[in-house]
Amino acid sequence: MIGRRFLSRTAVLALAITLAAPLAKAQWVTTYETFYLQAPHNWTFRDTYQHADRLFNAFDYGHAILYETLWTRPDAPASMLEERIYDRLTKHILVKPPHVPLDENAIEPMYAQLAPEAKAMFDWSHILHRQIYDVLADERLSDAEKDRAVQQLISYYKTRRDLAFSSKPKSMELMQEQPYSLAFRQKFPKFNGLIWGYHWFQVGLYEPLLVGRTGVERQAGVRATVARFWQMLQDPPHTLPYQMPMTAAIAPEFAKRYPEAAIIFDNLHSMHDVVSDILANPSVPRDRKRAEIVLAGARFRDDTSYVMSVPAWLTMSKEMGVENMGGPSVNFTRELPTPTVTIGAVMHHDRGTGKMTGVLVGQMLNMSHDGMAGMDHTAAPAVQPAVAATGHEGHVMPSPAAPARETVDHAAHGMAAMPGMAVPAAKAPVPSPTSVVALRLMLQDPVIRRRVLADSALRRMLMQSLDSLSAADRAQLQRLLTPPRSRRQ
Amino acid sequence: MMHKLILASLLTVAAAPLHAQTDYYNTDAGRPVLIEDAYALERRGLELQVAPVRLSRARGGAYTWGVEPSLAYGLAPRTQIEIGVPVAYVDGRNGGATGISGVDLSMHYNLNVETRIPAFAIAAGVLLPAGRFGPPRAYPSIKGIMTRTFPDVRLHVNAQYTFGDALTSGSAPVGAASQSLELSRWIAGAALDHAIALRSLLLTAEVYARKPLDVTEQVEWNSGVGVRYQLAPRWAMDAGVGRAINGPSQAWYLTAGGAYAFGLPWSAR
Repeated sequence: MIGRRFLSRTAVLALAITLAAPLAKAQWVTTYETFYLQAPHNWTFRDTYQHADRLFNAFDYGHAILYETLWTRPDAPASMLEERIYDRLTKHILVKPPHVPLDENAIEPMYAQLAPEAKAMFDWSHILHRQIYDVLADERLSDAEKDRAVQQLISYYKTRRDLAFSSKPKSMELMQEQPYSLAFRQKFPKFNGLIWGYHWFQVGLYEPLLVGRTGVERQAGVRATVARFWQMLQDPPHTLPYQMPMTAAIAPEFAKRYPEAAIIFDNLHSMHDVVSDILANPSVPRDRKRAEIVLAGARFRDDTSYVMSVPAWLTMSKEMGVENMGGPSVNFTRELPTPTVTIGAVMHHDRGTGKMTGVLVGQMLNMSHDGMAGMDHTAAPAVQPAVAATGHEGHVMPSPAAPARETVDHAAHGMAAMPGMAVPAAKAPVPSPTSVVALRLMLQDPVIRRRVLADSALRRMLMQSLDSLSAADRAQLQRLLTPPRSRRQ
Repeated sequence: MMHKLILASLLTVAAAPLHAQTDYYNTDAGRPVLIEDAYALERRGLELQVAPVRLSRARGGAYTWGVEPSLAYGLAPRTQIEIGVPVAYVDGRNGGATGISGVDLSMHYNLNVETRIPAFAIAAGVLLPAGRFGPPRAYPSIKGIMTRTFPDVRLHVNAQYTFGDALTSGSAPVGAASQSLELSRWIAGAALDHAIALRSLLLTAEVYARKPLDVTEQVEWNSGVGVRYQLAPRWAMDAGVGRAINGPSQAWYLTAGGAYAFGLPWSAR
């Protein structure tokens, strides 16, 4: 009798262990922290640029409270993040930021339990971020010594292969064209813009430290960049970035001098968006979110998934348009640049070349370049005819959000394989008077005109859009859109 | 009796099992409460407990001061080693006495990071016989630690067992040593803490029971509260107060200290 009871209990125990083992294995995480690289430049940026440094402490809070809220309050109304927390961040915490870097475990304890590996990746990369500021802020170091110190930091960063983001550029497909993608930016456009504003500042601040020739110039440059960040908060989301800030666009000098670091930071910031999307997208079941985050982390760490060449990455960064990312972080005009896409628009880029091949979600706005500080007019994107020049004025919110693409298979990332993808219908848009003037001015620029004329699809679409104009305007623009040889004929 | 109370007050001075970490949120045993979390010092990190001061007052009014400078190092992933040398000053009828209360060596190994599974750690230490107030022989101990985080608080549970022969009160060194927390036969307790993240401030409270190694003494209950604060990126400060609820001394203690974090130089070559 006793023997039978013992056997049955043993069997139940064995069954329980068998069933629990996979769960325990999936949840048994052994990641760990490593101390930052000890060096004489430690905390120099904090000591020298306190006003800017403290903003990073506030950013720590903003990132962490975002993830904690998305994970613990999935049914909360959008206003919780878009209004209540956003206001708290921008009116209180950024105004009076914490005096030391924050321990994010204390802010996002439940998120930290969900994906400690991803959190450790972010923490490790944020250490690299901060240590590079220290190097560039250290007036005792020559340029060559700074270069060596940054290289040493990158080498140290890479010693943690289990945490380090790849220093190979990753295509935006990894961020924007996954089944869960875009959920965050569509539900929380303002908060998403704030996060992109943080990222603009985090990579942008390297630039004044690099281009300043003296300590005084660097101080002035950092102050100006800080002021520019505050300017972005004036009328959210319109004044916040419309696209993820790419380091090569925001801080080109930094990206040129330290391309590996720039790529790492772009990958880091992409993954921030990916985690937000996974958490915000209800089509990812709660018991799958950890697995998706871990998978995304692995893809961002390896050197093979969604990789593109450095030249393609530079091209992609350029074609996304610095004016859509908040503009350059130094030598900017007084006004914020005018974006050329709707908020959170998704461009598709050729992974081989980085060239934009179309807009998957959202729209290109009229091609007014007024105030587009830093825009390279020689690199106008080749716009898909169906989505270009819609005639919207200035800042326009996205048209009704694209359907979630949760039905898309993980392996399918091409446009054709995304049935839910929104591509606006092809129709002749009606340009506004302002955009007509802007278009005329643009086409009078010989460089722009040559490029537009070289793009038959764009030219055809623009020609179609002229139908609704007055005869005088139409004639003038038709002349500008007609190749010289054709006119002679 | 007075002599015994004075010696008993040493327990709060020689509270030795330190496990350092470099920021306010990662608690260390004794800084300011005894019950600690499961996490180890960061790899390659060093932490110097510069001057953790502890003042205790036993029933009868005897005061004891103590300082335990210690150095911890993140030797390997989730693993730290530490050495501490507690120094005590005991107030007595015939004047005070100062002496070392042993040398404390310890290792802390964090098994996992918290997910749905709590974080666990094991620690092993030995209090070596050294100094005027040190134990008569080496006493090894082992400890199990668990940390579970909830939205607003963390719960830490510690259980420690010390090996070695039981002691009897009688001779001064033995009596003193027997009152050391290191020389409890066992300790078991729990702590709750709550972080005020934007201020980098941690509030903590604990309760634990300990069975002295002295076989003549009963289980003693203790409680304590404290704060940890991140003063600067490298500096974490702490302060606490507690008391033994029962037992012969029913001592009060106050503690305050600061830890300085730094790392070792590293080269890619």
